Amino acid sequence: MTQSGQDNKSIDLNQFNQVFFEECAEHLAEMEQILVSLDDAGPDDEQLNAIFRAAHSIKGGAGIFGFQDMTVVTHVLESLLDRIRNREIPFSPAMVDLFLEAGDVISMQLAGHRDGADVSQEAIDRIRGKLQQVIDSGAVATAPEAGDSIAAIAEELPLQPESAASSPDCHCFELEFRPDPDIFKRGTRLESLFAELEELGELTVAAELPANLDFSELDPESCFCCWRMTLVTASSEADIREIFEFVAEEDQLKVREIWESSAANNPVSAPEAPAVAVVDAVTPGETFGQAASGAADPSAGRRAYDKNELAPGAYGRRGSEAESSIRVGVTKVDQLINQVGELVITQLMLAQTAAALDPVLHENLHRSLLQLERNTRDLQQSVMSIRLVPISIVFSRFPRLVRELASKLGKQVELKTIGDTTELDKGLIEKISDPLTHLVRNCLDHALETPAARIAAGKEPGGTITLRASQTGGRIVIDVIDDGAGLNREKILAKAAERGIPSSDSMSDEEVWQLIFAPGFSTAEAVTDISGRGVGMDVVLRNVQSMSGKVAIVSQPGQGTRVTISLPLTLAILDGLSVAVGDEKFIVPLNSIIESLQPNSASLKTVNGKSVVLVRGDYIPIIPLYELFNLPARVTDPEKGILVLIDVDGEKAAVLVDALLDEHQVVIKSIETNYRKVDGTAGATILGDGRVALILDVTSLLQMRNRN
Amino acid sequence: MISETQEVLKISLSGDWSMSGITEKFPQLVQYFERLAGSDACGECQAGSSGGVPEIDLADVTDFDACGCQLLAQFIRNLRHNGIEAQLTNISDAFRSRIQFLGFERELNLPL
Repeated sequence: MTQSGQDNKSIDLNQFNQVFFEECAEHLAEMEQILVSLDDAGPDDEQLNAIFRAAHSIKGGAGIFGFQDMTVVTHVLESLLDRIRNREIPFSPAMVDLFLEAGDVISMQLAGHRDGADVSQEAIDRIRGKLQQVIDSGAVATAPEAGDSIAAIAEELPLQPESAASSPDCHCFELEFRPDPDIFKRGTRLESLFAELEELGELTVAAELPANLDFSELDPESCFCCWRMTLVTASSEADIREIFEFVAEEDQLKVREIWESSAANNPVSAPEAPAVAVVDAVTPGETFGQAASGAADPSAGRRAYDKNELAPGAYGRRGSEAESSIRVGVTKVDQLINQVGELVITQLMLAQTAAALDPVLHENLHRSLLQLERNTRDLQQSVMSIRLVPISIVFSRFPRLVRELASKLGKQVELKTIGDTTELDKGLIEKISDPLTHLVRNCLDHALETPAARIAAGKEPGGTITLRASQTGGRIVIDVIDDGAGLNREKILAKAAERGIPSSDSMSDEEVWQLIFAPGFSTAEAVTDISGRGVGMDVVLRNVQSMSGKVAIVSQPGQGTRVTISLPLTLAILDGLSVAVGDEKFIVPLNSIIESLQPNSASLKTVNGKSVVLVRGDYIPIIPLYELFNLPARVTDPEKGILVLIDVDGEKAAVLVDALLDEHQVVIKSIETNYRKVDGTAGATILGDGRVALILDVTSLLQMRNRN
Repeated sequence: MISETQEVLKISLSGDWSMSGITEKFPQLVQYFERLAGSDACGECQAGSSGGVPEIDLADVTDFDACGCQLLAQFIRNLRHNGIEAQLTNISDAFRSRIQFLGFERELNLPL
């Protein structure tokens, strides 16, 4: 296929392209995950097969969808992996970096097709050359030549030698093909399969039937036959196996090279008569090539999971996923969530209307409305759960980051992840990625010591970074823990003083640790390309706060540091308290409320011209909402209103409102999309009476107050 | 359709002997096998018009694939195990080359 996927106008391939892009990204992620998990012992067979499958699936998909350029690297990568798998080239730890680099190049090509990102042909040529070099240095005579162009590779894939026997590099393979009994039922045409084989060279086929089979009892649609073939070809074993990849399990196809006529003309084994003259019957336990050689060939087959094309896992489908999940666009899910949100509002309206009706006279209506409320709530939770995705999506990117940075810094680091299956909203997943990356980089660069320093401190030479996620109450808690040197209190205080950040020796540890969130704060002695520019922790804090999250630090000198990020489960709904200010209603997020109180005159003071309220020894500034939003006030005297105490990262404020109304779970609507940005708000919601209420952004409220 | 001549030793196969039609053909083939493989039937076989070798006529077979080849080969093999050497007749060139291509010539007693 040479036509570009985008050029094909006969059918709209875009929707299929998207599936390919997603699957390709998953294959790359899977490949990377396995590669970074490898130790010096190298991959086991299953891991090698998995990496191979990923590379092969990408190549196959790219070919099918017309992204021929993506088959260039994958083809050479696949060839190398196949040789490693077949023990023709020994695995070495250095290959991990090579494969990771190849994955990066394929990712780059993927991004090029998907997002129109720049693609470096130089990088493609470089990695292809490196991979080919490994293949060549492995002295594999049958290694396919990586051509100088995409076309060369594309033409190479279907090898069709006119006369294999006359080829200078000619092999004779003996094949034993014992298909799955269901192969006919699946519609596989063996004639086509054998025809493909015949295209490789001179093929001789002999079918063998089992010796003792009760004719009247057999299943006529079942395959009970075994085929023995000899193939004289210039192609490699990999080319042969590729033909069988969708029809044969590992143990269903055995390939053995009987002889090879290369330049040196050294037979692999003595040429023998083709297997046409076969034994009278083959029993199931009989081993392949038994008569010719005592040593069974351990060559591994391909696509062991492709047992049944109708079954999960066939044709490279991920088993359970293919059957138990479907891909749905995020916009569709959001649309559904939005509609359920509307339904919740409608239900609230009904409830509010019904509240005015006599509960005795309208008992049935009230009962039905209660049922509706329960059902709506359940539906809302179910729909919200669709947007939840496991945090492993984020965690999975760190093994490689840690591996590479640790290597660069000369440190020994083990990364542990706990709670990978913890789910949180897709929107949060996207936003939490950067803060976590900053934290992990900081751990590597600053927190964890070098092996020598660790040994000197009586520690193991290798440090540990732990990423732990869990759901606690209505929040997701993510810990980034290291067993490094811990934060240096004196250094932080000195740096704070140097930068003019208010600080004192009497500050508690918790307060000192908070100083590192100041913009531009860094105690790093050297700015590296990893961290140390002081643009990390303030970005972490800002990003987390933008998700209504919190960051806390616990650190022990010499023992390590734990940074805890706490996030709401979702950004689409919110537990809030509705309050009245004049004729308007506002929603205050419940998670920021400490308490509500009606102050007496003794507790109200004025400090520097600003009203404060004394609560258990603390003077807390009062924020009159009517002033901030320029509303006609009913209550201006705090004594006559209600003060809602809020806490934002340790900073407290008392919001003056007319009255507390009700506690709601509200559906957050973007006010910017529908109106414009309103300072001090995080969005809006529609209340049961159909009115719009602004949702307060308490962080922004404090900033507004400070500005005023 | 499977038909039988007056001498019982000529079995005429017809129709679709591919995967899509094989289930339909199988019960009758089983009946023939049981008759031929039975002691009485064997006696008849041995006295057949073609020197005791039953003939399986493929003249009316319209389609024939690996699945059909396999079943027929197993039929002939099981007959052989019961002392009966059956012979295919009226094989079209296309079917002959397909049988050879699929490697069944030996099992189907086709001359190489």
